[in-house]
Amino acid sequence: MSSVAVAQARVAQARAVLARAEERTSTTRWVRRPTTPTALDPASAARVLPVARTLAGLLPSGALDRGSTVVVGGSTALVLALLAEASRSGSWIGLVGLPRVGVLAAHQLGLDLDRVVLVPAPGPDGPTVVAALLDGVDVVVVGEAALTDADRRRLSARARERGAVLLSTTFWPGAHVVLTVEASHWDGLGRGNGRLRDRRLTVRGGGRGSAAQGWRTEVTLSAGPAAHRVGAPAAQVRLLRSEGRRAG
Amino acid sequence: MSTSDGPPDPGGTPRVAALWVPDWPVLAAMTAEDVPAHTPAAVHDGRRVVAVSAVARAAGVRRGMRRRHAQECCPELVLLTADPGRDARGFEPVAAAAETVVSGIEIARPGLLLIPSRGAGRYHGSEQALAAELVGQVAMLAGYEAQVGIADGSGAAVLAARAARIVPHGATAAFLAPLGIGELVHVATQDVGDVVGLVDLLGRLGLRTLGDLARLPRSDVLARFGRLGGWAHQVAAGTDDRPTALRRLEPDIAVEQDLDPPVERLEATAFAARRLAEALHARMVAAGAACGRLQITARTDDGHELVRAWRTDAALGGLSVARMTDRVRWQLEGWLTGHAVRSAGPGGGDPEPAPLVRLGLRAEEVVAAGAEQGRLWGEAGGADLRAHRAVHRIQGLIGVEAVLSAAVQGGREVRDQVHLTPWGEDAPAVRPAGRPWPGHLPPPAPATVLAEPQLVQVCDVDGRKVEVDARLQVSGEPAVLWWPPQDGREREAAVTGWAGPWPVVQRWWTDGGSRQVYLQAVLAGGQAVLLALRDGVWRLEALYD
Repeated sequence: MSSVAVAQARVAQARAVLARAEERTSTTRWVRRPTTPTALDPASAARVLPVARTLAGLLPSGALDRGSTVVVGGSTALVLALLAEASRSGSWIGLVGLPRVGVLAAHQLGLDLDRVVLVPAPGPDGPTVVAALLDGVDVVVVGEAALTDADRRRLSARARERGAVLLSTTFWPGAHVVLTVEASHWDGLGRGNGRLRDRRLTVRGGGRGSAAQGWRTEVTLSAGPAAHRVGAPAAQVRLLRSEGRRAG
Repeated sequence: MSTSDGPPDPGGTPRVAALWVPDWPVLAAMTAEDVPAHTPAAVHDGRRVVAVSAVARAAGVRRGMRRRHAQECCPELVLLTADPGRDARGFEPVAAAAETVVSGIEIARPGLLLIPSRGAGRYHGSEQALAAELVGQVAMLAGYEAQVGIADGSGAAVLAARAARIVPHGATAAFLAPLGIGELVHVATQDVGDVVGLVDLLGRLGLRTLGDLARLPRSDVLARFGRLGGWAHQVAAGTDDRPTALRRLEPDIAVEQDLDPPVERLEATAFAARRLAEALHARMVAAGAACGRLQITARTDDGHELVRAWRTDAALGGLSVARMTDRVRWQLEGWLTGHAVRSAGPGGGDPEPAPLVRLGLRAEEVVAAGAEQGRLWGEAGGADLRAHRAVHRIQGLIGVEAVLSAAVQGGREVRDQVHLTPWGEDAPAVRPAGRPWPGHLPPPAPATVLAEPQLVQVCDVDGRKVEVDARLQVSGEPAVLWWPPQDGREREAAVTGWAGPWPVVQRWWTDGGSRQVYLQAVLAGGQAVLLALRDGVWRLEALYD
């Protein structure tokens, strides 16, 4: 079991003990309920871009920090899934140097294509293009682009200054968070029957600062029949509601 | 920006009032030439009569008559020459009179005013009161008789003004339906000749009323008659005047100054910089604009051009004269003392410090001031505007075709379902996305789609190629995926799971037809791939990575 899951289990246990104690002393009416943990105050909400709840465990702060540089290696689908929630809440996304990205997959994972800019082949002007995009959009995903290490450091500084998120699919010196897919397992496919459905990814995390100690998390990327519709999948909404009830 | 065929939603339909002064060209000409009102008069453009006064009309003179014919009908007719400038000048008092009642009027053409009436109607109590007030003020202040019509959409409003009617909200389609197709000519404000031709054609095709035209599917009208037909259909259906997409970039603002004698000393350049900054600032204030970048250009004595752009944050109050002067001074300091020199010339390399002969300032990425109002918390507003500007800048750098926007369209194959267009180009999707498209691949879609499918071989346990026959029977269970040798190395991977074959047979009745079978496979490393068999050859189409 991962460290996050252990922590969640302990929180749930503590809440249950508290609820029993309140019931016994009948202080329920005077105890002010804590707000849901996802509700952030407006100032800190402006400093992060949200990610889907199922993927929040991948990142140290549970969201994409504005101004940070993130490396996601080994899975394009994971990159797109991380951006879905931010895109849905109004952020602009630039994809630079990703000529093979599956736009249909991006749509099914929940990205709003009206706010996605594709620059498949930036050519020799790669650094300028990425810098210009960092000025204008909230997340810039960089794939294969002709960048030197000095360029990369300058672009990281630019992202920090402009409050944008720089997300690379290749090595990036000085990245704040580095996510690497170690193993992937597909469900739903038999031998001659079924179809690809859900996917379990084992992701190793690391990086700088508080992320330096490293962690390993398992996440599930699913695209059920509801994935064609834009918006949160029904299963996820149900999960949110039941958790809210448990917490309250 | 899609436009739907359905009825306009009540919240978004603009209520428009049109104020129409009948026979405006002839009224303006009579006023200018001091022709008494009881004299029959007409305006002709050298070939035909283009406007007729009421008295002349009663005598039988009509628009489109030749001069001789008109004089035959009415011998005392005063013929006045056409002058669009006079029409526009003479209309100004009418517009000013209308402006005493409402603000935000728009002159569609001399003789016709369009007024957004939703707020104005509320302010004056009712739309009837607004219309009465307009007519009264125009008659009192300008001395012309006007008619006012109010309806949903400007085309309908113009026709309502001709009928002097106030069409209630939602009844516009019913009002328009019985009107003759020829009424479109009165709505047109430009390309009148083309509209006349279109009306003639529609009439010959049997579409006699606007209702007939509105009943046709929008897309068919657009396909057959083009942009003008689409406009005519919108007017006929009462759905014109949708707000257009805001994609306007202001032109750059630039100031330049020759420095004679050439400036070598920093102190002297500071004065020049100050003057230029003041000039640029004055022009930007006059234009009500803020800029995203400030470009400083200097030409040295020996012919080098030095260019540097400074990003400015409009959210931080833009550039005052003092800040602009400082930036120019810093930059010149760098250039003149030989530090941080950058050449914009094709030769590259750092030129020697040299006296400056010319200095220029250019405000780039100009936007209307106030568009980037900062929020109380967080970053500046106008994220969409910023993104559009960044995209336009990149298009300027690497070409319009290199920056794409994506949309999902209908289709069966993975590539068919994606519609990529150069950013800013409004090309509609080829196939509608909302249809079922039987036979399309089930979700999830592959996250990586190869630009060029790779040739591979799918083999069964015995090493024979897996074939799929016409009845979709596989000759053997896929066991190994084999890549042909590349750089002297060949690669193979065991297939641990697979599904299919799924046939996709499309457009076999045309030349561009295709028939192929798809196979999903999971390889030994946990990677999933999409394979296609086409013309007897297996190809790796996409990766579910």
